[in-house]
This record gives sequence, C-alpha cells and structure tokens, in this order.
Amino acid sequence: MSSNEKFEHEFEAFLSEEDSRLAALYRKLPPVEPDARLDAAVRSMAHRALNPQLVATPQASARRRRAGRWVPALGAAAGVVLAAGIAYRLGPSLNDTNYRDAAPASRVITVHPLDAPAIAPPPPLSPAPPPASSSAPDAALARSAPGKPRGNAPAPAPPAPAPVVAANEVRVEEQAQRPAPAPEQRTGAAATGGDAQGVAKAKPAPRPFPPELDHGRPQTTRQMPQIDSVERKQITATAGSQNLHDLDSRDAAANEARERSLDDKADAGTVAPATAGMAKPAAAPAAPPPAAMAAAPAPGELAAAKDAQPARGDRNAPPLREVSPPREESRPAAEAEMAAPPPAGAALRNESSKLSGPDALKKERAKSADPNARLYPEHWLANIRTMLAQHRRDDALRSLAEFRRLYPDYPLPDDLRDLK
Amino acid sequence: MGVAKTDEELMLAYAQGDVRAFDTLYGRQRGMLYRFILRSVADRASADELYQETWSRLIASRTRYRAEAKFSTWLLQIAHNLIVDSFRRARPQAGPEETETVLRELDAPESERPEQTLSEFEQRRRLQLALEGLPSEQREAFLLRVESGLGLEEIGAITGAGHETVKSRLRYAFAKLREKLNE
Repeated sequence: MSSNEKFEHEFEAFLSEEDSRLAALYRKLPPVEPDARLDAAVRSMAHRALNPQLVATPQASARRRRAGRWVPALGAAAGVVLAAGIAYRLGPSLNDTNYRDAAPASRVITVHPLDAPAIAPPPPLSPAPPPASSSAPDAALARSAPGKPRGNAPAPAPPAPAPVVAANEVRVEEQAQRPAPAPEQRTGAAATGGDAQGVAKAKPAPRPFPPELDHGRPQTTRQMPQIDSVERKQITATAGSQNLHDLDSRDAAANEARERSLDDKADAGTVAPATAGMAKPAAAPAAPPPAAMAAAPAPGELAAAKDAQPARGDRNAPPLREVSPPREESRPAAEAEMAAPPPAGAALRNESSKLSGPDALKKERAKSADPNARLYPEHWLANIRTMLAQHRRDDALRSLAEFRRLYPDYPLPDDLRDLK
Repeated sequence: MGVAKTDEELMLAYAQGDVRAFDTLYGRQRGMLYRFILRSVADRASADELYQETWSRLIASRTRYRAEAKFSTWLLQIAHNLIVDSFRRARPQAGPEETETVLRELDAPESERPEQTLSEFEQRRRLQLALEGLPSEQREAFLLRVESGLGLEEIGAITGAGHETVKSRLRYAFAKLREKLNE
C-alpha cells in the first residue's frame, strides 16, 4: 500500500469516526474546563436575564434571607403595638366607666323632671372660696386613696350661721354613727354593674359632686333641658333595680365623703365662719363647681345626712329615681336662695322648727317605723313610687302617710298628692 | 426517574424562564465549548473572554432559538463567529519572534530537535503545537470534528462552508497533523 493510499485509508477512518490514531491522541489531551469564576459569571448572567431585579450574588441572597427572617418578628411587634394602642384607648373609657360607677349619687339628680316642684333652692353657681375646694373632693379622694392625707382647709360657709358647738356635736354624732366603709359599697356597686344604659342616661357627666350639693341644683336641670317628663319616665323605666341599688350605694359613699369633709371643717374650727360664708357665697373664680357645691350644709341637713347614712348603706334600698320634680315656676325662688341647703335639709329645717329644733326632728325620724324616714324626702318619695310599681299599694300608702307626718309642708308631686 | 431532556428542550425551557434548565444545559456544554475555544485561540485569557461572550450571546438570543437547529450546532456557531472576529482583530497572528522560532526549528536537524525524544506526553504536546500551527479554518474544522464529533454537514453549517470545502479542510488538517506526529 502506497503512502498515498495509506493516508486515504486513515483519513476515511477519521471521517467515519472509526479508531483513528490522531483522534485517540487528541482525546488524551488534558480536559481543560472553565474555572468556577467563569461558571458563576455565566450562570448569574443567565439568571439576571430572566429576573432583572435579581442580583444573583451570595450577599444578596443572604440579605434576602435575613429580611425574610425579620418579617414575622416585625409582624408580631406590630401586633403588640396595636394591642397596646387599643388598650390605651380603651383604658381611659373603662376607668371613666368605673369612676362613674363609683361616683356619688349626685348623677341621679339629673333625671329630675323639669316641671317638678322645687324642693330646694339650687346651690350657688359661683365657685366657693378656695378653702372649700378641698372639702368634699378631698374626702372622696381620701376614700379612694386611703394613704392620702386629708386637707384641713377651712370649710365653706353654710347658708345660716351655726354655732361651733353644733358643728362639734355633729362631728361627734357622725363619728358614732359612721356607717361601714364605703369602698365595699362602691365595689359592690361597680361589680353589679347594673344597667349601663340607665346609668349612662342618668349620668350625663362624670363629675364627682357630693350628693347634698346636687339636690335641686339648677345645673342638673340644665344638663337635660330638652328632656321632658315623658322621656324621663322612659329613662327611669329602662333602669333596672340593680342599677338603682348601685346608685343608692354611690349616694351613700358620697354622703360619707361629705361627712369626712365636715370632719375636716370641724377639726379646723371653721364651720361657723364657713356657714356664714355659705349664706353669701364668695366669688372665687378659680374654684371649681364641685368645690362650691361642697359647702358645709346646715346643721339640720347634717343631721339628716347622718341619719340617712345607715339607710344609705343598705344596698337593697329602693331606687333613687323619680324624685320630686322641681317645677319651673318654683325655680326662680330656688335660685333666689342660692346658698340654701338641699331640699331635705330645708324640709327638715322647717319640720324641726315645728318640732322644737333639729334634734326633735331627728328623734322623730329615728322613731319612725318606716326605714325610709332616714332618707331624703325625694328619695323617700321615689321609694314610694317603687312600691306602687311593685303593687305594694298598702306599703306605699303607709309610707306616704308617714312622709306627710314628718314633712307636712313638703310639696308632694302630682302623682302622689292624690294617692289614697 | 424521567427521561433526561435533550439540549433543545432545555434551551426552550430556559427561554420560557426555567433557570434550572439553563444550569443543566450549561453543565453539559461547558467543557466542550471551552476546549473548542481554547484550542482555537491558544490563549487562555482570550478563550475566557470568548467563552463568556459566547454564552452571553446565547442568553441574549434565547427567545429566538428554534428547536429545528441542534443546540450544540447553534452554540458552536456563535463561538465560531466570535473566534473568527477575534482572529480578524488579532492579525497578524504570528509576530517576528514566533516566526523566527518556527524557521529555526524547521532548519534544525530532526535528531537535534527536542521533540525527537518525546514520550506520549510529548506526543500530545506535539499535537497541540501542530494544531496551533494549522490555519484557523482547518483547525476549526478538525476541532469540530474531533472535539464535538460533528459530521461534515454540521461543520459546514457552523462554519458556513460547503460539504466539499469542509472535507478539503479536514483533509489538509489531517495531513499536516499526521506529518507533524510522524516526524
């Protein structure tokens, strides 16, 4: 075989992929490959081509993983912040609700009918002297915070001059007859809850007025000027008995606060001057209305309040709604006596004058078989209405007769005036 | 275990957004393509540059790929065009020193040449040198035939030459390499 033929033979074998010495030698060459850097560059190029936002680097992947880990943590933190915010927003309203539940029964007065007869002149609207501002509110605060010392500021002036001896006597009697601590009553009142709707309607504003200051206040009539008597009856109807008990307990707590304020006044020996000042209230612009309302009541009222305390402590006492409504025509006269004591005090004063003094009236009320005799007249009347509503007509008539005996001059409301 | 996808299917999948398909395809073709480029240009830096550029061109034109064409043929065609362009930019390929070395070797007696005493390792080295000494068309046709296992038609499709032209280039390349190795 010539070299030319041999070459052709080898070349044909090379083309036909048969065993060729040249091809075998080539396959023994080192199998070079691209390095890892080149591979990574090409692969990242291919990945970026599909997702331009994708940065196919290890650092970027690590960043994405770290960001992914923070998502649940951030979500949990946001949830906690949201819950705290909701609690913060609901907290004041809840506290306000509790506060209103524990507030004195003065809110009950806001349901007084506008057309009811005036049971007492409204208290002065002008602020009381600065010393009076710390009497009842301080007492209420002292009850809510037992460790807080009570101020000994001089008490505001009652409407009529009263001897210091009388004030001291009142203080001694109060100390002897002071009922059980009010916090339990307040707690019970708050725990019972009652009809929130009724409470809301009966308490337009959460202001801690002492009870003796809210009786017959013109401010209470201004708080619900557009509500007629029909609406007020509806409000009374919606309020459950539990709620009324709650209100009664609050009234008792407020009475205790008033007594403590009187204690302070008596300790300071300023009851008599304060009483004189109450007759003509001083204009202290900076003093808040509660302070003005916290003026020291007349001795007769104090006695009535003292006598009423045990009955106030009764949580099952009848409701305080539908008290004697002040009449519109009597309001000017009531406003003329701005510094006059609450209606109960006025009635008792009148009665006590006939019975030879406050002590006689007090004894007469203490002797009465009707436990309602220890209540304020308007509360007593409200209880009589409750008896009627509960179909206890005989009890109502007996209680009304006793009421007429003790308060012959008290103007009865229309529904009870002709009750036989 | 399913049947492995062909290169064409993988390329189509990548064109539709499947990154893993590209990774598989790249793993299959990376060695062959790199060797083809490296032995065509005989310069690692240039080979790396051309290699990366080849894949970049493929990625950029992924949506224009049609399955009618064999993937390896398409890939090598891209590489071939880049190699040709690099040759055109690099002319003249051989400098004065390189030319002088070749002439000196040609003039020296065969017994004095160091390649005479070479073993198989030296045979591979000689083959490498012979490949580098081939004209680019002949070398490329030889590499496509040996490295990629392509036939005359495929080589012609890649290089844009006819069947007989490819066969002629292969003949010349085969003869020169054989001569170099038998020397």
